[in-house]
Amino acid sequence: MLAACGSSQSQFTLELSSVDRSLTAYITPDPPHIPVNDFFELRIELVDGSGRPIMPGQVSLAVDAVMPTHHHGMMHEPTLTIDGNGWHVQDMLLHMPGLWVLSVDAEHPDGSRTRMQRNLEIE
Amino acid sequence: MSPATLLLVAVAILATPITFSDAQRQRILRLGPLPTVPSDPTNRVAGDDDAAALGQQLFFEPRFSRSGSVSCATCHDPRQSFTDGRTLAVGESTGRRHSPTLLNVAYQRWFFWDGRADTLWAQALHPFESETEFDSSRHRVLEIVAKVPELRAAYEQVFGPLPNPEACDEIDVAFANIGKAIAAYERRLVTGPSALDHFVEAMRRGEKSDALSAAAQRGLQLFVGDAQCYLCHGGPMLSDSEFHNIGVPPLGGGRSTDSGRWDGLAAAKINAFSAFGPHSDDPEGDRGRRTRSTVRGQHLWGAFKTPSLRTASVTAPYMHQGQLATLADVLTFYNTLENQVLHDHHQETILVPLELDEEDLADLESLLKAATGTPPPANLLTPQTGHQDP
Repeated sequence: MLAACGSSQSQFTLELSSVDRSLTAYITPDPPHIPVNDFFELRIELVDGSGRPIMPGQVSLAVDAVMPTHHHGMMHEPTLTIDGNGWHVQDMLLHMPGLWVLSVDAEHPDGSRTRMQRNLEIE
Repeated sequence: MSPATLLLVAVAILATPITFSDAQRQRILRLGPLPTVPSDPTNRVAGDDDAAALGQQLFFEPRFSRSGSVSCATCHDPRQSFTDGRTLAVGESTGRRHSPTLLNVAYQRWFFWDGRADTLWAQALHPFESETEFDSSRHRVLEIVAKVPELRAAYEQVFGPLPNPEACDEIDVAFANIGKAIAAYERRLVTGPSALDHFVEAMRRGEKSDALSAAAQRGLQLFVGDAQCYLCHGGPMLSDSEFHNIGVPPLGGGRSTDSGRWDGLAAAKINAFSAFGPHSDDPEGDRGRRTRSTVRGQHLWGAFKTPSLRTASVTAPYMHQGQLATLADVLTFYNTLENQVLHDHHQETILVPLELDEEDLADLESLLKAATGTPPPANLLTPQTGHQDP
């Protein structure tokens, strides 16, 4: 399991920022402790560099996770749906323990993309 | 040092209690027990006693096959822990893969070595129309059910009248029902707690336990430690239920031409009897959505499903073609990776030779034997006629 780091969003929220910190994703997993090899869901909210919320209509999101030392990613492509001022992600599955890199890619209307990512050590 | 002293020192070392690190304990606690059998919303009769009784009759019925001599029990023999002890399965002719056990099959996420079925009832249907297995057809299956009074009565008790044999869509519905009944029976083939389970439960309660021998405890420490078996054989099923290409040499040598999961996944996504198909009782549910969303990546070429180790000691031979005859052979393969067949970028990249000594390998084997649970209830292991309480 992975216990998510605390943040202003909730006790169990992960924070992923882009390199230039122009975007930050706050990710709340359900269940709160990300399990090994069991499906889980995510709630994602985005803010810009000034902390202003980014609404789902402003960008489109893609979520992925890979194990860099194993040279493979998830076995499933997560399903994203818009949920109010954020996104609901289903079918996340980190099927092996170890180091994963979770990424959230935001595609802007002009076609440019911003990646937010962080390492997750899953046991 | 005298031989007697050496012997005393060895005994002392072997008798020293095993101390697990916090990380090892956390991994051990995930190894058991088996949870409640998961529900299957795609099969509305999965938990139905009458359906399971029908399924048990169907499982042992040989008349569906072309020769009248092959049943599910031919390759999944209850007397051999629901496998057959062969390298390759033999039905009406010889197949290309080893028969996996059906013990604890309800906990699987995918079915067959290549995962080409996404539900247990879909898996149960494949053999009927496989040339090497039953070499039969859905029409013949339903014809037999219609002609055998006890099968017809049992079928109609669960599903209502048999279909018009001229109506293809009705035939497929009834065929799906046959699979669902067999699955209802197979879901009950669950092993009882193992010595490993008892040890894990004691650990969870904070108690010492002698459920595992000293050798098995040392094996357990390797399993969740230096040998890192838990990476793929973790969780209550001692399997991640996913697919890996570990480069086991094919039977007969040479390079493997079996694409495994690569083609298996493609087949699962177009199967008319899939979890999201017209015969599923929950086509819009999680199971169907996950089949559609499964990624067909290059790493799946030549990959096969990680078998559960909960029955490893009673289901020889091993691997997808039964290439490895004994547990010792399996451990030797992982220990040296000698004869591993590499396919450039397709094989699992995290495997390295374990390079353990003979005693460590023997300890791992002791653990695998201790991980095997008790057989299912005896009334599930023989043909039943008429309705029987499970």
